[in-house]
Amino acid sequence: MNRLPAIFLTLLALGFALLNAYKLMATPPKDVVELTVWETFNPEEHRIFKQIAAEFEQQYFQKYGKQVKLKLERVPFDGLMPRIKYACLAGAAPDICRVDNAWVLTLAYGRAITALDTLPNFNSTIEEVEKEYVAAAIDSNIIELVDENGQMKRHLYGLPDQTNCVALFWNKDLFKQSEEELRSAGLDPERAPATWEEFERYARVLTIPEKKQYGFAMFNSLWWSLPFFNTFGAEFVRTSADGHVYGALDEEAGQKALEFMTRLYQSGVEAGAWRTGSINPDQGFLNGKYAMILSGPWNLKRFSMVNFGVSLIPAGPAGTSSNVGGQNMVVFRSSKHPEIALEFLRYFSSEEVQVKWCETLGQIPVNLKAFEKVSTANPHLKVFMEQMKTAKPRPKIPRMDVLEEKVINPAIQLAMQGDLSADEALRRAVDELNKNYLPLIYQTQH
Amino acid sequence: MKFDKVKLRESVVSYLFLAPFLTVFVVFLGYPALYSLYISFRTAPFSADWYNVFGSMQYVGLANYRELLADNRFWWSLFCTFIYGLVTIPSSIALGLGLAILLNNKLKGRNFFRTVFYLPNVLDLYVVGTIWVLMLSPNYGLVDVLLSKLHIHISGGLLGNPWTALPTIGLVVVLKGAGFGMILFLSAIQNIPESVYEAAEIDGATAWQKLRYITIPLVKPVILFMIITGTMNALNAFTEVYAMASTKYGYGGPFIKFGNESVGATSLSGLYLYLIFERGEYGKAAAFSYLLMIFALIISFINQRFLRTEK
Repeated sequence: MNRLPAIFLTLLALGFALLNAYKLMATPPKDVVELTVWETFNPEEHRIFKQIAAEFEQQYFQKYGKQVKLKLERVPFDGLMPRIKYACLAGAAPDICRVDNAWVLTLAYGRAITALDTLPNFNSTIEEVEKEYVAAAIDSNIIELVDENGQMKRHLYGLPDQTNCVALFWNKDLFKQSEEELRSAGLDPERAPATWEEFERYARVLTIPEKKQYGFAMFNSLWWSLPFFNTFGAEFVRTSADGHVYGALDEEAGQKALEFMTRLYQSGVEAGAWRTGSINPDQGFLNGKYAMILSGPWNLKRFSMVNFGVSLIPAGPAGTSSNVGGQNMVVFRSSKHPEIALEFLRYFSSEEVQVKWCETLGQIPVNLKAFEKVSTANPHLKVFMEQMKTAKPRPKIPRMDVLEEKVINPAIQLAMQGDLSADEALRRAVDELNKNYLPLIYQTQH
Repeated sequence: MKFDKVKLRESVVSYLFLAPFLTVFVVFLGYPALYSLYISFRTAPFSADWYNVFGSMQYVGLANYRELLADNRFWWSLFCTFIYGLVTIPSSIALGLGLAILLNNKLKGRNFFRTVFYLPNVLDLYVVGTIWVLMLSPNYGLVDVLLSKLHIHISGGLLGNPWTALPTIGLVVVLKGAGFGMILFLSAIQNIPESVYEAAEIDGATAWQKLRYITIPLVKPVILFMIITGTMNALNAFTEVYAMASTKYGYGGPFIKFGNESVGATSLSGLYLYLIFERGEYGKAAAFSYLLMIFALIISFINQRFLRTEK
């Protein structure tokens, strides 16, 4: 019994000793500059990313004679934004972080990240840098903010590292099974629909209620609806002659797009996969229940057990078009070595690295020269690369995440359910946008 | 004098023993609660610096409270919470009591059933909710297939229909938690002397009369406990709606019209509070918490007053 305090104290001392030993081991030598990188890559991407980071460290040493260590930390994509928020508050933000392209705007408004064009080693202009990248990929990084003099000023807040868009996935087996019906409807079962008009006819034939099979299934949010809005020629916002930005989604083109989406659901050819508790489009496509869905290149591997084809988004009155997704890399304001961080971002998105990255992983390059150079044997990826040329980036509106979640997504859903007309749903959303969100563009002081 | 010295010593020793808990309480509960009250009177500007959000908050008096009280969605979330409580509290009591009465009998394998009924209670609500989503999914889920065999068709599925979504979530929570109520009622019923029932039987009481006039009055403290905890659970409910009625494109769906707004049919106050916090409106979220606390205190007071047992 009397030995207990001694044992306790020994254990405590041992614990402290171990902790200090760990600290000593974890601290890099003084002459090595360490940068923390938060990344959300999948295991395969992470493996390649590690190699690229090591190559950068080597090249940086050869160029500047300075040792740099990139400390790569894999973080989950879900819940990353709150994590960044708390890290900033606690003064524990990383130097570099890989974020969804929609978040750069929010991070810039919150002054969480550095405007890269203000760094001494930027050595270029925003316009010159812009020309080096795929337009749809770089767009989300260039943001106009009001400066302390009340003037709108353009800055570059990040660089893209991955870009994508959605295209039409179609189940070849289900098309084959309905071959006769498709042919008698004057449709070719060997190919995907090329226009929305054709798409609707295909979807009608491929919807077989007794087999619980649907011609089409969709997610329901603004981002997933953009292929419809864009192909119908709708604009989210417009700028008047006096430079005033106003919402325009409720114009005729937007109404027509939403009416079309609503008709697909209400006529029963869309599975209602966007409704709460339903089987989502990806799952239903995998299970052979949904003949056509919109999806991105991230699902090419996942769908490998399905005999599928990928084709361009069916053309509407404004031709084919899609949305833009992807990831950007940003440098946090708290970084002690933003110049080195910028150097790494430029290296990772350079032609040479992008060609290697995309050819190994089967992805769409963000660097324009790499985009033209990369050779892919994957026919599906070729379709996505073609689709990228007509893809339209999402609008850059302050608090876009809140606007989507609170206003636009519910409005689209109410229209699809038939609770509001397309006209009224969009007018309500645009009123809210004009009243509470767009004025924020002019309020921010940086 | 001697007495005082002893008393003082005892007090000091007592406080020393209490010190670890009090420290934890002050640091992790007392201070955050008071700080929440402080920031409920403040608001961060839209372009607040992320490195100093709390430092850049400005005093706005009661504006956060006023804004919430004028917000249709806030009242809608309270209404949903009220309906949710109305569905879950009586059903939990009825089911818990029913199971307890059944398993108080000398049934074969009653210990097995007691364990089985209690088991879902130890599972995580998010996991349970996710499994139910699969079972309830329209066209393909087990429940929907069974309903269609009975020629019952619910447009959009049980979770996709605004009229059935909230009661369905409530039912899932009731089924999951039934074992907990059962254990409470079982222990209360087992404390009722057998002689009371024997006397009632001699007087010719039926099973219903024994339940109505003996069992229910004697388990009233458990009923009161379940009403109070059920009310708190309803006010704090979040996980079930997050798991069963939310996607990354919309929380608390399906959406319906409420005045000029679009609101979620399952948008409980806990979920709405979460969304406000997630948007970074910390002052408003703190004010929301205090308003909820006031409502919880009022409801608890009413419960105590009307349901307290006579000594």
